Amino acid sequence: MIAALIIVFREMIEAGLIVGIVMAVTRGVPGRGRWIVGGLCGGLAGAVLIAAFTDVISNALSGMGQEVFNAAVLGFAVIMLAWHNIWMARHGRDMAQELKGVGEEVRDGHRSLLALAVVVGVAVLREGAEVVLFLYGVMIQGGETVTSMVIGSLAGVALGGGVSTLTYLGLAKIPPRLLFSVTTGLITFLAAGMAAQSTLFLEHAGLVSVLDAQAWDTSAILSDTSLTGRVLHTLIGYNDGPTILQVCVYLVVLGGIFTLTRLLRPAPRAAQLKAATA
Amino acid sequence: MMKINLFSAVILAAIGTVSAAQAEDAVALSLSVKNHVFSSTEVKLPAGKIVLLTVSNEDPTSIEFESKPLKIEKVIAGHSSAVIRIKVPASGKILFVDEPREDKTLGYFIVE
Repeated sequence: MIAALIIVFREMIEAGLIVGIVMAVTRGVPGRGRWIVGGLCGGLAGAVLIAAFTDVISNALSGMGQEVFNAAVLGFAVIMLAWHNIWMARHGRDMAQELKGVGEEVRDGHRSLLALAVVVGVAVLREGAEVVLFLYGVMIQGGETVTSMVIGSLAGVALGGGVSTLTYLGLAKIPPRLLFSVTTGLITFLAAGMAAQSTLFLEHAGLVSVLDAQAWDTSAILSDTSLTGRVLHTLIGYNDGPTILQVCVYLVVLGGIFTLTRLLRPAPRAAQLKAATA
Repeated sequence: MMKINLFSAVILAAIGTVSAAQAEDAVALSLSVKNHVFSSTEVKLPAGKIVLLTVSNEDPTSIEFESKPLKIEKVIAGHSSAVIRIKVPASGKILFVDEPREDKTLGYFIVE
């Protein structure tokens, strides 16, 4: 039971944090619950599929299938997050001030929700596939009855849900005025961290080999496999020994999203709306 | 559709090129795990080279081959194998484990 609990919880931390952030980001957006649950379910279904085909994926592309797949999935999540942030910069303030128009705005809003649902799904899918494989392992190894395994897993999922709730409640404490900037920042860091992780997979696949020297080694100070390290790894992309290329990609994505978000923010219009609602 | 085809063609070409380049100067090594024990607990790696390590998992349960210092993490399903590309550092004794059983199923890469 404990084995199942630890396995599930360890893999749930990242997904838990991401769900919590997405909940905070979409606060007050109608229909967000459906989208987030949809993302979770889609991710779970995908995880089972991937677990079943691990062998096939792994041995594709001269043995580098798993790396290329992970890199692609993470790259996709980065694009979704970037797109969401940029879209929110254009429309977010209206939504936050409940000036949501009907029709086009709402449809656009749903497209943005879809992007976030995909990010949730991807987080669950990547970690979930490992959970499925290992639980299967615990099961066929015997020693644990199915009931105790199910109880352990559910407890692990509950703890992961706890992480989401804490993240959400923590973010909900932030005054609404600042929430938008905070969540935009969080999503940007999340995306940069995922981009750096995606780069690592491409390096492992042997697809890129430039600037592959280690930039620093802080594993003695804070290992990125410790609990704090894992949380920071998800939130800001902390890495205790990245390659120079990973650092470059991280900075470019961070700078890129920040710049685009700023450039595309329709400042005069936002000011007008503020004046109109005052 | 056209675009997607072109895109996948480019990716496949890139992968083909890379595999060809890999095959030229990479050193192929293998390792297996059975009853949760690695076939060799000291694997010698040539310093500075690229090694393509084939890890065969002969157990019915899956493993997660992990080497923290090398930033390697790869899930290998039961009764199957996977190739791991390692850029070998200049020196060192590097721990590798099956992550869920990291205290029991472990070994070291010896760089020489």
